[in-house]
Amino acid sequence: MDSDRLNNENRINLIRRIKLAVIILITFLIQNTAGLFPHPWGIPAMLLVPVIVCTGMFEREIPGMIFGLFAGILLDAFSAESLCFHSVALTLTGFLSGILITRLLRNNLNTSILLSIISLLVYNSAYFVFCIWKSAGASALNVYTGKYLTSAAYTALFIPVIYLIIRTVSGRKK
Amino acid sequence: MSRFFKTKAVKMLGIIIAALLLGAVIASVAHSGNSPLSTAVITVTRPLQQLSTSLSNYLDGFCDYFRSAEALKGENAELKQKIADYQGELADYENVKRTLSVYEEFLGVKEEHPDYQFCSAEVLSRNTNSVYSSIILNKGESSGVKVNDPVIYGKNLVGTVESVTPFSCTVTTISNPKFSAAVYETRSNEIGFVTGFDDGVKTNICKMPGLKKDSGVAEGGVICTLGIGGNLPKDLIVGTVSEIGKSKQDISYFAQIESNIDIDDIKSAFIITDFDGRGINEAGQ
Repeated sequence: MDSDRLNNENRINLIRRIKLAVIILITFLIQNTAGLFPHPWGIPAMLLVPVIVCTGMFEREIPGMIFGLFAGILLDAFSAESLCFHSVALTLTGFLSGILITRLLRNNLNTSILLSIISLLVYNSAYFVFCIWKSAGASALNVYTGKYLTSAAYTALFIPVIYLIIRTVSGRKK
Repeated sequence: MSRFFKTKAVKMLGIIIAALLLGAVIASVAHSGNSPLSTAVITVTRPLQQLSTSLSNYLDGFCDYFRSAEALKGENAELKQKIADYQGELADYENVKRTLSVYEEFLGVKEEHPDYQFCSAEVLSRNTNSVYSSIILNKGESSGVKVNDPVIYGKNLVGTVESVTPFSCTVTTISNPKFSAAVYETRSNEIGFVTGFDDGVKTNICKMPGLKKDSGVAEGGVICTLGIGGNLPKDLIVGTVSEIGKSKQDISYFAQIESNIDIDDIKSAFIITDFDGRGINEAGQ
């Protein structure tokens, strides 16, 4: 009886995680295919960052880390500037979101907005420092404020929708 | 605190990050520009990327259709249908015309330079994470593509291959500050180099820095590759000088060069996989 229940739980977990992986894959395609998602004034949305934050919040640290790694590898594979920046950064993002919810914070929409905005700012700033700064030269400040900070602000608009989608797929309230 | 660092999650995190960094080191040593993991991922996700690009192109055409239909709201249904039909035919005609002109130009290049070895490639995706322009093409090592291969559209230079996987490659375009090529201006024969602007705002613009005040480079001048360095053949068109500006860093001037093609809009390109003189200077000969 117990083993049946365990098998059933494993099956439900597996299906839920496959759904999350598909969401990450679709988000990656939307984010990285020109013309699929609006880029107002050429500003891209980094949708995968809030997706990983919300996934980490609902799935906790280890699955959050694995999903972050998955998303990061996808981004790194199609990036000319970084070899493993996205993988490392999104793995850490998934891990930290999970561990903060496990140990410190409550899982609700406000927390997801706060964590996602902080993650977006840190992520975009780190990407700029490690991958762009050297090439940007004298225009560094303009590039940072004009592209990376505005990209974080633009992406923040979609956090509530992303949170609700991940919450629905996770089938959890907390 | 020490108990926290001994947890399974933290150990896993450490192992994953160490593995990623090791992959990056391997990629750097191999000079392929891609870690083994990235190569595998590109190979696996390539069909999906192609599918999403096709979807994007379809949606683009779909929206255009409705925009046209709205403009023709006052017309009767029969006329609307006819116009929609004509538009469809016109779009096909424009596509065919554009493709034909590219192939005609390509044929000209091929006839002028029989030593060039080409492979045609479709644009898979564009790197939207970076402010600087780069595109992913659907040809890689399996088609003979190598790092630093030039990519052209007609006679115009698009950029050079930055990294390559078995079935795709990433191209750094001429507007990217990482791109650099020796060039000359066709009227004055003045020699220099081109690179992207630091701010990377426009994808089809680059600059020729380090010009003197009495430089012969002027607006309207055509900039072509010089063919030294062993990576780029001679006489590929980089663009036309659209403006001469004063450098903010020193007393020199720079020429702003506008490519004759809209790099953001291209759907296909040709990769020059070999040409006479390739790699001669690289080997120090």
